Amino acid sequence: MKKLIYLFTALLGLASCKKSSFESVFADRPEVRMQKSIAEVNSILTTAPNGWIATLPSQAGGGYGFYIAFDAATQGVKMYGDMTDPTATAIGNSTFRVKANVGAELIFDTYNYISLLEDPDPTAFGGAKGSGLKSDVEFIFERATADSIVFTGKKYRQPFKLVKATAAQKTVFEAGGYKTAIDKIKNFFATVKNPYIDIAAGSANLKAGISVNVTNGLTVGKRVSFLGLLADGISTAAGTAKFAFKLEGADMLSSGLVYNGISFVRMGWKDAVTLAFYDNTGKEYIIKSNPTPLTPLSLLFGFPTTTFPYKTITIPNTGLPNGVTSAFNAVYTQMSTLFATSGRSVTSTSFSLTSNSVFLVEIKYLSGTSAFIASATYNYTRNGDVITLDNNPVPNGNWNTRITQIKPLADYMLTGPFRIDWVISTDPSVVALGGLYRTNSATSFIYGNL
Amino acid sequence: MKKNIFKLIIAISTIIVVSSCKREDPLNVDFSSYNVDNPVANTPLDSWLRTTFLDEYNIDVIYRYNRFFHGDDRDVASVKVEKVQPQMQTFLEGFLLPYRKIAGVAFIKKYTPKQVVLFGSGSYNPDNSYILATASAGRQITLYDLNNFDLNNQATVVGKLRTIHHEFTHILNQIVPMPVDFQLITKSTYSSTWTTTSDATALANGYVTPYASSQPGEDFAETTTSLLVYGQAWFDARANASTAEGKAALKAKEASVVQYFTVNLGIDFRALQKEIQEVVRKTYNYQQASFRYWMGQNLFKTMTINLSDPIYTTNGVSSNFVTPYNAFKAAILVFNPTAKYNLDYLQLRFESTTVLTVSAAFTAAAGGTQFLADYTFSYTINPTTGAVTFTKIAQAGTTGTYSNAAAFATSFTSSIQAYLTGKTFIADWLPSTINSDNYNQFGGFYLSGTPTNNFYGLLGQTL
Repeated sequence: MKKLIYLFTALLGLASCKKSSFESVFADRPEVRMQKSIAEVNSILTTAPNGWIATLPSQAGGGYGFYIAFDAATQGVKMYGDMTDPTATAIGNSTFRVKANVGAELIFDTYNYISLLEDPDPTAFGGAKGSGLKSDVEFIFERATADSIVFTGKKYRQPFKLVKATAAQKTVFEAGGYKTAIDKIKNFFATVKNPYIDIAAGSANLKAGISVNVTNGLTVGKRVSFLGLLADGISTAAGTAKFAFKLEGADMLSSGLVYNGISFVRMGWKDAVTLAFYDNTGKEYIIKSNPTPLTPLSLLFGFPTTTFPYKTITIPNTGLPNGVTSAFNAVYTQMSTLFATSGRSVTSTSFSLTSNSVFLVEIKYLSGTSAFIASATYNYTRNGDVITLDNNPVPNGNWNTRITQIKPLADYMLTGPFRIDWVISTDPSVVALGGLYRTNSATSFIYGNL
Repeated sequence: MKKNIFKLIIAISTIIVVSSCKREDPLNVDFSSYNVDNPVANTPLDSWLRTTFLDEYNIDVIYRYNRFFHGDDRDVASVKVEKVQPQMQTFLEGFLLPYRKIAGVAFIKKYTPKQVVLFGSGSYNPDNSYILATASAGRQITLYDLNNFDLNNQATVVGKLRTIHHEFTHILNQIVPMPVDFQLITKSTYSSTWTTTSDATALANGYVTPYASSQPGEDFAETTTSLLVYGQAWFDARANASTAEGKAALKAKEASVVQYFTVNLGIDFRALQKEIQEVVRKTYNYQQASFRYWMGQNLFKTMTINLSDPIYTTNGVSSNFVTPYNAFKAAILVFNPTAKYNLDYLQLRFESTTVLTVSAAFTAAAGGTQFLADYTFSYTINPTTGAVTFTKIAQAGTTGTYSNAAAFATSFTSSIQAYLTGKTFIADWLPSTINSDNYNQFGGFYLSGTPTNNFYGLLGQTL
């Protein structure tokens, strides 16, 4: 036993003498490797002869696109950005450097367009006081390929992706072509009413309505949203992505715009006038125009307002909206005429849901210069897109006083029930009209602005 | 027992041997070459900063973004390159050079902060106010919000100069503590929630700004800065607008600041004030540091001219003014051969922004009572251009001083009145050669287009 202990002790003593020196698993010392990494990133950035096309989503705001050229000798940066017209047309000069961090870190270390996104002063570019759009000017190097380099924002962790520009693209940027490309897309969505794409889902063909917000607003700006009905005609699908303008269209940033399981990654011009979305498999979805909004109005019109964006249809002081033929036109005209002959004038009329059971009709009119409101409330029940009013309206004093003039409308209100739906005007400038269609006559409906 | 001891020794030595096996080799990283972050690109800006600040004052101007200098919890934007040189030029001519001239090369080189860090935006606090600058460790000044700096906008230039002086006052306080007596002047009204303190309240309590009411250190810096950058006239106007207690407090604080600089630091505060005001008035042409502005505000209510005062010997006096002055003086002297009245002084009394009384004080050669002769004028002042016109209007009275005035009316009309009326004068700080002791005390008017034709006098703020 004792011998064993001696032996054990002796072995331990011998083993303890072994001095294991530090051996690096890497070929070089850490500082050498870091310097190599810095030199590599510097070299990649500054040797792209035509600069880079970059995209960067902000954490709190939308997505943004850039053209960036790096100069090694002066550590200079030249930049265009898609934030505003000036940033897209006038070159912004600043500086950059690459320093050691968790790997190499690229810093845009003086102010340029990319700094607008992080500027905590709201007078610079909107955003929230103290944090702007929550973006970075420091980016940690992730990886590079032959024609691209990818960084991650140091604080807000957003992907900053740069792809080498071609000589042709550089020329376009320098000639102010970025703004032209941006304006073309802005103009497309400004003129194409109710844009949508068709998505085949099994045997059904689903329409996804597109809304593009080109502003720089913090919570909604520089984002594309899809919203549409699924095959059952009731449930909806939605998807939103931040986007950056490019010369060829726009890129959906981060993981793209995911809608009903499909990941849309970019928007591009199929030809001079046709814009299309492309998913991550390269499949093309042509953007088309619908005469009315794609979502049935019955899904948007109702109470409470926290669920439904609309609850009121208003006929404005300019009278019934142009370009609509309805049996209601005669009714409204007759009422207006009766008011006129009594020496009064109707300024506006509105139909609104004021609760889950109360429907309010308000007629605002002038007598001389005094303004009055005649109103009546109806109890209503709703079944899907149909609203049924009871036949016992509760009028206010003015309604009773002016009942002679109001009678055509009061009578019409009793001809329901009414179905909620969009109304199309032949006048292209008149949009977003809502209507209450008599269920037994599709050509007779109350309509007005939503 | 012996066996037990032996076992114990074996056990202990085993533990020692086992633990002796643990051996760590240090990972030798040469940090001097691991993270070399010295961004200098040798642009003309970099070399200007190097020769002007680093070589001369050992000041490292850090304008390229480094998160370390603002802290990880804040989002602060970097500075626009084109703002760096104008700002640092202001730093040089409005701060370094005046101190260098008055306090001496050794002083400024020793005490100036060694790091000046520049950021483009403010550093926002959780309450949405934001920091304009910080000073730390007596060695570093961080200036924020430079992207709004505009050389064509006097207010932003002077505002930034104010910030620089504010921070440097902190630096001075960090090296030579501020006087205790200063901290007691308005001890009862300091409040850390200064953002909710209105300017009117701060004024009534005897502070130059609401921020000054946050704590004595800030109060001292704000008071010093106001005196140096906004100038004595601004400070006096502020004090005059306060309550009696507030005014007393402000004047006591001024005295304490002057004492601190003069005694504790050995710097002639009034000379420094003059030096900085010269920059603010002449280089930046800051409206609120101009005589015309304060004339328009009716801050200065009297201007007393006595050509026998040595100040006129030292600084000279325009012959265009000497002639009518002496003519009037002579007329008063011969008026009564017995009394032989002497014109003691001429005083312009600005009763309001439109009413002026020109008052002549005279005393008999034998001494005794000093009499006044008052002549009523109206005047106009354009606070932007400084253009001033004087017009003789009907005398405001007929008895007393007006009766005296009637006695010399003819000679007054042909001398002083003839000189003052029918011309456009420009209000300005005159004479330009004034020494620092009298720097804030004298002002005057020169004939528009002919600066050599002028007159000036000792200013007073009460009628």
